[in-house]
Amino acid sequence: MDQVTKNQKLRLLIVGLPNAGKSTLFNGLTGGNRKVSNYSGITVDAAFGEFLSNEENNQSIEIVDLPGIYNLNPSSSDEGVTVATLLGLYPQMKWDKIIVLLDYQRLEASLNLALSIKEYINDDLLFLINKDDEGEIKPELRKEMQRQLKAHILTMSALSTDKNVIDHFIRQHGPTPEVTPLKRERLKVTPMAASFFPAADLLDTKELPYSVVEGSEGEAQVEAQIAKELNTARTIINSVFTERKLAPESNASQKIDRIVLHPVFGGIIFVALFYFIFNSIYTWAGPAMDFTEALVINLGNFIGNYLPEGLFKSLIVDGIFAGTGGVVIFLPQIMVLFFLLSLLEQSGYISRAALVTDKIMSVFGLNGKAFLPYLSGFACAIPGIMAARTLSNQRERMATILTLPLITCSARLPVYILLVGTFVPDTTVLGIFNARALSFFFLYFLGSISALIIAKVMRLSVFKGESGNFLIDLPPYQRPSIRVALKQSWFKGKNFLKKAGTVILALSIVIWTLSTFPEVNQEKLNGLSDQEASAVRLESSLLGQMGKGIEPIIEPLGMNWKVGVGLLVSFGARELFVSALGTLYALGDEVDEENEGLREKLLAERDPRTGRPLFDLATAWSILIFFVFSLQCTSTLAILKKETGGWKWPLYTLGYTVALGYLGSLFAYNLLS
Amino acid sequence: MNTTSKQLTPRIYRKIMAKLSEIKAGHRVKIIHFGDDPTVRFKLISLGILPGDPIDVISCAPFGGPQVIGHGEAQSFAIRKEASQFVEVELWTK
Repeated sequence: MDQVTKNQKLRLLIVGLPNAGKSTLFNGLTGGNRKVSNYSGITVDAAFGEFLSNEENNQSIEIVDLPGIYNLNPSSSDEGVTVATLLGLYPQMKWDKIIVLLDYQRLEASLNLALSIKEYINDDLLFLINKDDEGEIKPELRKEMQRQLKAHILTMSALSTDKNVIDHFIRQHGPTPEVTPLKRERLKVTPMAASFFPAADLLDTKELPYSVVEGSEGEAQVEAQIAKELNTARTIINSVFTERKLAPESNASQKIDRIVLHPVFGGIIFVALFYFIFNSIYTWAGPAMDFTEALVINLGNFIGNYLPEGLFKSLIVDGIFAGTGGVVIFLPQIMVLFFLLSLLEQSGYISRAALVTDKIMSVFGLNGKAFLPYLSGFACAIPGIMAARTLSNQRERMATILTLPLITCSARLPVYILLVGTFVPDTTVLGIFNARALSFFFLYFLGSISALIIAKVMRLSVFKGESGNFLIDLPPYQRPSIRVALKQSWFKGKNFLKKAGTVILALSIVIWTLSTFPEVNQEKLNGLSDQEASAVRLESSLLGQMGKGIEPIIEPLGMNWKVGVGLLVSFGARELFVSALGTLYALGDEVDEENEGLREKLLAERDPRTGRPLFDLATAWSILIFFVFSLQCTSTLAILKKETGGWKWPLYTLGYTVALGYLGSLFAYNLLS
Repeated sequence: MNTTSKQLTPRIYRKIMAKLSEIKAGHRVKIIHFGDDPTVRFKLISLGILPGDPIDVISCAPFGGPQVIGHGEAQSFAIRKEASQFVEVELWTK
């Protein structure tokens, strides 16, 4: 192969320990254009990216960022993906070369992994040694390592090394014209590790590239296999380096850990940090939200003024602005939450939080590592469910992902803010607490504690069984970068707007259409006031009829048919509840030309027969409690189906959450009314 | 205690075999045996630890949670007491 054409892409894998800096390297080389792909029937959390330098070069290079591993015996499904890819078990996922990213601060462990890849996978590797921030690996040391390891080595620091140097190194040594298959030793894995590989009948090879060794003798063989490479790694390191100075952060980290993980202070710091985060979502983002809301309403009215009266104006103002706009105003909250979470994630505190919560989680039959999935669940259940792949115990993982939809995600936020902000008075209770802040806290708490209790019930019934072991490594603390956090926050905000601009926009138009048609015969409206007429039109629309249809079911919960419509559409996505109410109230409100938001309209609505307010505190709490529990999100159902391999568990989860929602709502309404 | 013997042997260290789960924060111990859970064994070796290595118990998490362990390289990790009770260590004490 002397002439490589441009369309022949070279595919490189990046492999290394968790936290070795793979994603930073990936982002540096590709410009951070991650795209997540599927293969072999499962969603794999591997990122594929094109080299930035592909434009100036003949050879196109694609790079794949795989989940970090410690050894070739995976202990969780995301590690399973990496090892299975290395072994070539996914037919569609062929690769050309492996880059092993070693961590200079954990050189023994890194070299142990690198040597086993060399021994059992492929011996034509590229080594990048990261985190050599002080430039301690002098050229002669590097050459000596190259000689002993028989591989090209580049020493680097993700902080200071020029990306072009890394790019050039990979281009120079990456392409291998011909691969000479070498007789290698077969990898031995335990039956447990093999269970994380794709099923053997899916493979097109007659012979598996690994051997499963069973029993305690097998375990001893696997152990010897791992320990042998570690001994080799130590010998090499001792022969190359006379003295190795380690970064001061590690000592500093141990000092910080003595306080942060202290039996008493650890708990206090944990609670204080998370209280601060949730508090700041409301205090910092509140003014920004009011501003956005005013902007959306005024823009809608401004455009409305230039449009002729009629259906088109109604579509724009009542359908698009009232529907989509009602959701867009929550952008500031989402951005603040992700900004703060990113700072926390970068600092290295998240793995400490897993530790602090481990004991409490174990009471509920879960693992401290489930803390991260649950924490992600506060943003959205989907990344949370994906993050649960790091849990090695299958039963713990199932209990975690089937209760994740109970965690208060950001899609519930619009509903909570609308109802709490409108119906809970802004008063001080018990001397120091704000009633609204306390309500929010209660809603979040109710969701979380229910998730844990139901997880416990599951662990005692359907997912009964032993707990997984808990062994987690604690990366050194790092100073979080504000720039990265802003980027994360911007990225999540952009995705949120994208959803609002596509799915929510489209469904808002559908809702508007269903609530406008069929149009009522003009004769029926004769003699009615304008307000009565628009109410009649709305009630006889298709959506109105649907709402009326479920009214008997939701009447005991204190909800009218308009709320019923909101609930129906919210099963597509929770934010649609707010858009639907926005559209319904905008349409049913033709007389009122004042620039009011939905909040005022809800407060002002009266029962036409009794003249009493339709919405009160009891109705609001009834709706809130329903939203705390029920799984109203088609995307979550889809990801649950993917992760559990069928419709059984998603439907089970939908069933139990809606039942809980209905009962909780019934209880709340009767208690308060 | 008799003063002469104290002068003759200024410090008497005793070697104690213990379970890792019993070791309090601030002590350095030597690992003798990893115990029977294969996942714990594989993971500890992969973190770069072999029997015979010294490790430090840095802290014990709240509510009787996992122990935080530091070892030679710039790395610490946490282990649940259910797992560390099977790890045999050697402690030198006065």
